[in-house]
Amino acid sequence: MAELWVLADKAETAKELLAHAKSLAGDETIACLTGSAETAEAAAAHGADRVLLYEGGSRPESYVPHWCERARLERPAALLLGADRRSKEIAARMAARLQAGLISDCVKLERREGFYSERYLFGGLCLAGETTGSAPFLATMAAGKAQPLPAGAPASVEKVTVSCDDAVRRIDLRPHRSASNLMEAKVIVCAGRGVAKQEDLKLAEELARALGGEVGCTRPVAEERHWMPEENYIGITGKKPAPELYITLGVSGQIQHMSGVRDSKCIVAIEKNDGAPITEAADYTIIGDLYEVVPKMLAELRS
Amino acid sequence: MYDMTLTQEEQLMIQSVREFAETVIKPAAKKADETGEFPWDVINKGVELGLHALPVPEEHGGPGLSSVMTAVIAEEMSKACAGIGTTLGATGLSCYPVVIAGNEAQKKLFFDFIMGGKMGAFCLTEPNAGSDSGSVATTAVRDGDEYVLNGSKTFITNGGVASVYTVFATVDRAKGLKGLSAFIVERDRAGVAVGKEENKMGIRASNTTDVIFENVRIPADHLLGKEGDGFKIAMLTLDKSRPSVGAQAVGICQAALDACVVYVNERKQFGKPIAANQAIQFMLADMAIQTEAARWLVRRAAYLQDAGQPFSKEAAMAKTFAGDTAMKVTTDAVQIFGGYGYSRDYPIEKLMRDAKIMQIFEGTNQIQRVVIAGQLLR
Amino acid sequence: MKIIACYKWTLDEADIRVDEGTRAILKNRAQYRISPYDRNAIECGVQLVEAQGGEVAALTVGGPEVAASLKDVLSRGATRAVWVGQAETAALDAAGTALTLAAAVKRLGEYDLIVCGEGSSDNYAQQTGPRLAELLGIPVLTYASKIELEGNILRVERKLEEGIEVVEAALPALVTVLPDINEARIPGLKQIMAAGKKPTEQYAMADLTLTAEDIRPTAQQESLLGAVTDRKRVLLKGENAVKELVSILKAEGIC
Repeated sequence: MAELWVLADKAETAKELLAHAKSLAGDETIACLTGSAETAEAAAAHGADRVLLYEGGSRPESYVPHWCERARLERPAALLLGADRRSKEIAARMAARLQAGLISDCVKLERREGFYSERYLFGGLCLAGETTGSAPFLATMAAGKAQPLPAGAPASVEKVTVSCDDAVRRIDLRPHRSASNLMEAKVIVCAGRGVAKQEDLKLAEELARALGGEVGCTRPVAEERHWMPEENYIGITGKKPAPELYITLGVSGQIQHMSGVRDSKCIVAIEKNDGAPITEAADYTIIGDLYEVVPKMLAELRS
Repeated sequence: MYDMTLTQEEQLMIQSVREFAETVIKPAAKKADETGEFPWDVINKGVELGLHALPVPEEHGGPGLSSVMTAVIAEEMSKACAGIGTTLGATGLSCYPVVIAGNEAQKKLFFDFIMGGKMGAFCLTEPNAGSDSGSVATTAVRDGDEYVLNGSKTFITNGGVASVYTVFATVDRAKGLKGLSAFIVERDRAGVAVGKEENKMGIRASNTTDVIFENVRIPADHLLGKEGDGFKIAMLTLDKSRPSVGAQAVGICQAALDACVVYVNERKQFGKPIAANQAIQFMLADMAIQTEAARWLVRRAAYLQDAGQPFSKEAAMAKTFAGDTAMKVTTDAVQIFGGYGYSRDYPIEKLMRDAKIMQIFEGTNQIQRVVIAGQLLR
Repeated sequence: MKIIACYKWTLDEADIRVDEGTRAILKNRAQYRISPYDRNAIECGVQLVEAQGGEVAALTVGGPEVAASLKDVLSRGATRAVWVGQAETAALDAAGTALTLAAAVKRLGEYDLIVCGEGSSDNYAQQTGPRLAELLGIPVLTYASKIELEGNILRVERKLEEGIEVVEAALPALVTVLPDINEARIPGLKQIMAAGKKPTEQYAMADLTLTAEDIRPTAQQESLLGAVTDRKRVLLKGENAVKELVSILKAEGIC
C-alpha cells in the first residue's frame, strides 16, 4: 500500500506536516522519516502510522541519499517537508534525485486529480494554484497552516542505522547573536509616542522577545526623544520593513509612518483611542492602555 | 528628426545612476542638508562610478558622454539630492575648459587628477564679477616660464574639496574681456588658499567657498589656449553645461511631483484622500505639464549640442525655464503637503530651498534672458 | 580559479500591478532585470576572482529576452556570459532550469565553484542551486552569509533558523548565497562601456542534447490571482481582547 511521507527534523514541523498528510490521505498510510529521536517520538504520537528514526548522519541533510533510495523502492505518493532552510535544501536535492517536481512554500494543499497546491509568487503579490499529476509529489509546507493532530496511541518507531559519507562537514553550530535586524525580522514591535517613558521601551522589547522579533520605533521616538538609534525608526523617510507581523504600541497611525509598513503581512495595533487613524490601517486593533494590554499579551503568549 | 532612443549601454548607465541615487544619495541627503557637512562617502562612491567625470573623453580614461546623457544623469542625481548632484556636476564643469581648449599635455595633466578620483572646480566668479565676467580682477602676470596669479574667487562650487582648478584671470585689465585667460591650477601650489565656506540656503550638501590666489606661480604651459581666449572658453563652458543645470532643476521638479503623488493618495481629510479633490488634481497636472516641458527643452538643447548645431539660445531657454519651473513646482509641492510641507522634518521644504539656486547660479535667469533677447534681436 | 555564477532574468515585481476587479496580474509595465539575489551571487564570484585570480562565467537560462541581460551581467564584473534563451526554455520550472543549467555547465568545461542566489525574486522556490548540485554530483552549501576559501576547501557560514552553521566542503562545489553575504556593486560607467567588449556565447538546446520533453514543467498552473492585502480593520475591545487576538494570530500562523 502506498504511503505519504513526512520528512522533518523538528518535532513542531513534523506534527504540522502529519496533520497535512492526514487531510490528504486516501487509503494511504503515513510514515515519518527523521534523524531526530525527539521528533520521532512526537510523530509517533501525533498521527504517523510508522516512524523511521535514522541514525548515523551528522546533520539532517546526511540522510538525503538514503531517503531517496528508500523512496525509489517504496514509491510514496507524496513527500512533505517543512519550509525551513534545511528542509528546503533537502527537498530540492531529493526532488532532483527522484526526477520529480517540488512545490515550495505551499500555503494550501488539497487532494484532487493529483495534488492541488497554492503558493505566493513575486514576493507575495500573487497566488498561484497548481496541480501535480506525476508521482511522487513533493512539497515544502509553509509553517502554521495546519493544527497538529491530538496525541494518540503511539505508533512504532523503527531505527534505521546508515553510514553516511558526507561531502559537507559541520564545523560549528552556534545560536544567533541578538543584534537588531529590522529588515529581516519576521515580527516587529514598534514603539510610538504613546510610550510614556524611555524605560517603558522594555515592554516593547519583552513583547518582541516573546515573538522572536525586533523592536523599531516611530520617527519622533528616535529623532526627538533620542530613545532609540535613528536606524531603528520606521516610516516613509526611514526603514520600510515587510514583517509577517507588525505590532504598534502607542502609534497614532500617521500616514508618514504607516506607508513605511504597508508591505507588512499583518498589522496589529494597541491603541487607547478608538478614533485614531491606526484603526483604519491595522488588521486588528486592541482598544486599551498599552500598559495593561502588553503584560496580558505576554502572559497569554507564554501560556 | 530627433532620435532620442537610448542605446542599451545608455539604459544600463541610467539604471546604475538610479540605483546609486536611490541607495546611496537619498539616505545621505537629509543629514548633509541639515549639517552642511560634505558627504565624502557618497561623493567617493559617485566618483567610483565615474559620475564626476562625464565629459572626460574616452581616450583620457573617461566615459566621454553626450550632452543628452549628461543631462539625463544630472536629472537622476538631483532627483535624489540637488546638492550632491551639484558637487559631482561641478567637477564635470571644471573639465569643460580643458576639453574645449586643452592640448594633449594639459588634458593628461588635468584628467589624470579627475580620473584618479579627485574633484575639480571651475573658478570664474569674483566678488565684483558675477554676471559681468569682464570685471574679473584676478591677474595673471607672465614672468619668464611662469605666470604669477593674484586675486580672489568667490561662490566656488567644490572650492574647498577640489584638487585642481580651472581658473580665469586677466593678463591685462585694460583689455577687459579680451584680457581674460584660462589656466589650470593645482590645489597644492604655494599661495593657493581656500577661504570661507558659504552657509547656504539650499544645495547644502555641496561645498561653496572662496578660493584665494596669492603670488601663485604656475608653469606657462598651464595656460589653456592663448592669452585672451578666456572669455570665449568660459562662455562656451557655460553653454555646454547649461543643459545639465536645467536637468538638475528638472530632477528637483520630478522629486517634488513624485512625493506629492504618493502623499495625496495617503493623506485623508474629510474622510477621503485629498487626491479626490479637483483642486489638488489640477495642481498636480500643472506640475507635471511644466516638469515635462522643462525636461524636453533641456533634452532638445542637449541634442542640438550633440548634433553640432547652434544651441546657445536653446540652452539658455532650457536653464531659465527649468529653473523657474523648479521654483514654481516645489512651491506648489509645499502647499500640497501643507503644514508637513513647511516642516523641516519632511523632505519637501528642502526641494524648495534647493530649487532657488537654479534661478541664480551658472548665469542668473535674468542674464539668460539678456542672452536670449540678444540672439533674437541681432 | 574558474567560477560559474548563475543568474535569472526576472520581471521587477515592483511594477507588476493587480487589477482590483478581476485580480488579474498586469505585467505590461514591468521590466526585466537580474534577480537581486543573483546580483549577490555574481558579486561573490567576482570578489573571489579579484582576490585569487581566475574568471567568472555568468550563466543564465530563460526565453529569448535573456539576450538583453548579457551587457548588464558583464558590467557587474563577469568575465564572459553564456546563455540559453529559446522559446522552449522560456517558462521552465526549477527542475527544467536545473537540468538545462547542468547541461550548460558540463559544456562549459572544468570549474571550481558554482555560485547561485538563494532563490529568485519571482518564484523564490529556492530549488535551482541544490538541484543543480545534485545533478552535477557536487557538494552544495546553501544559504551562505559568509564564504572563505582555503586552498581547495570552501568554508561557509549558513544562516539557518536555528543559528549559524559553519560547514566546509572540498571544491568543486556549489554555494547558494544570501543577500547579506556582500553588497553587490553598482556598475560604473566605464564597466558598462567595457561590458560590450566581453565575450558572450549562446548554447542552443541541440548543443545541450536536451529536448523540450526533458524540461517540461511537472505542475500545471490552474490559476494566478493577485493576493488580497486589504487591512481587516477589526477592533477588539474588552476583557477577552488579548485572548482573542492571540488565538487569531495563532490560527493565521503568524505567531
